[in-house]
Amino acid sequence: MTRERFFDALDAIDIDIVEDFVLTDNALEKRSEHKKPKYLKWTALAACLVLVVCFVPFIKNIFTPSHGSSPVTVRYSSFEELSVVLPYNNFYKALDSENANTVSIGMSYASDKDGNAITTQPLQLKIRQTYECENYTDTVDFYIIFGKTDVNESYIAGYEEQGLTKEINGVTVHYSMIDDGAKHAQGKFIYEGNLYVVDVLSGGSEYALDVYLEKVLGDWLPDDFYVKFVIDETYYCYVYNTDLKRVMINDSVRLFDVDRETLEKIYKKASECNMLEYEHSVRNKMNKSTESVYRVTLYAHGRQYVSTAYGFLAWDEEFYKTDSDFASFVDFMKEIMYSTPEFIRLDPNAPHF
Amino acid sequence: MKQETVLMSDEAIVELYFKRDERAISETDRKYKSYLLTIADNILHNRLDSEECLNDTYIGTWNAIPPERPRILQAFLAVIMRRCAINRYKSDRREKRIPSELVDSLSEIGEFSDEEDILTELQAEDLRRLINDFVSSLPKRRRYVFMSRYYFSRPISEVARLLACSESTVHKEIAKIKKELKEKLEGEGYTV
Repeated sequence: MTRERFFDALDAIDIDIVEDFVLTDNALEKRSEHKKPKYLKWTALAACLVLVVCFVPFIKNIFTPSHGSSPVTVRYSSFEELSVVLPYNNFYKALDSENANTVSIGMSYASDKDGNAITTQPLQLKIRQTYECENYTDTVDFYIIFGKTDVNESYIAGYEEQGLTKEINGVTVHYSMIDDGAKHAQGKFIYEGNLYVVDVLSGGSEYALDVYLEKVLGDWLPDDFYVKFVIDETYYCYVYNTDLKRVMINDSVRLFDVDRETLEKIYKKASECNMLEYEHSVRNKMNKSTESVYRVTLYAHGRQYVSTAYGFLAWDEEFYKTDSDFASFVDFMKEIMYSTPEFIRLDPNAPHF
Repeated sequence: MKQETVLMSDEAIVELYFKRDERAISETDRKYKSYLLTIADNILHNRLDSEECLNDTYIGTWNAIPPERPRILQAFLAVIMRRCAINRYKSDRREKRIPSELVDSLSEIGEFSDEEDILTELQAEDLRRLINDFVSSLPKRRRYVFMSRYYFSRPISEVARLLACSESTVHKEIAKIKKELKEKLEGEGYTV
């Protein structure tokens, strides 16, 4: 039997044995602090008595935490390495400023029964950086907690509800500031269906949270994506990121090729955007036509944006036969995008607009 | 004058978890951070890794409660923290990066073979039951030593301090435990 096998077997020790240990440990620690060694036997006996009295048979299987409930952290040596599994490149770009020293990058995953990371189930990304200022250092932890859509779902210590919020580029940030010997501030916000937490411990005399929130929300989100409309035989709408890399996977998907589930999502979204009449209109037109239906799909950070497939128009030879008509269509699309809070912000100064 | 910190009771903290109130984490952190970091430090000997494990422990706890309702929160946290640290240790070991107190405590089980063996899931379960029974059957003091040293990878000096005895006494206790464990395992047909 290998040593590791032995050690793995220890993993299954009943929780009541661990509880017994913890109680004894606390009693011994207390005694040690009070430095009364002559009472050792009596304290231990008393602790034993308490344990015996309190001891209740426990259902092992219910209370033994399973392997699967223990997250496992995988460390990455660089943003480049991280981007292979999580291509949030614009986010990394925003963090990787000249002054930053990246101390650690760790992604927590759910684990299987052998304790191996299930890389398709990321739970949390944590990036710790230090920023050297004039005569002090800021330590900043950037977290992305995946799949959490409520700021109250944050479990990152260091936040104290003070009822403080602020808007940065359309994103509501909840934040708190605590002076616990250092200037400790934390901000948290929801973006793209994930919870972001920025935790700043500043060695300076001011809370430095705004600096780092601005780094993330100011430089990263607004310029991230824009839409390019192309006029050719048929009118396509492409989506680009700020690196001018087209991120739309399938640039000429017709609405007719979309499966029913996706179509229903599109209609649902259209309904939420008060486009219900328009939707019916499109649907009717769809029945007549098999050509040139437009849709806009956004992909953000390597995956389809939550509020996908916004606007679409049926081809209408009478309406779109001129460039000016198409310009009207573009304006209409922009209006929809700007007026829909869930939709990613478009940069009106982007070259293709 | 130093301000006295009032810590929330475990029951109240668990209730916060059940209410999905994020103060559960900050209260857990205030009360048990240092304790939990010590557990990870003993295994990993790396504060940065330990802090990441601490964070993973909070995630694990937040996800586990509810539905779990721990009777002793400290023990519940300790189990999760230990497992996170062990996972990290294994991951680092695969990359052959770190020594730790875990390596030292494992090396004390010197008679155990280094050769890879293949146990079926059934045998592995049997071994877990065997060791669980063995630990349960130990006298209280020896069980404390066993858990300190092998489960939580505590340094011998720390065990000795808490038991108010010499390190050589702890070494002797460990030798007795090893002997009994070896006999028990061999009696059940395991080669050690």
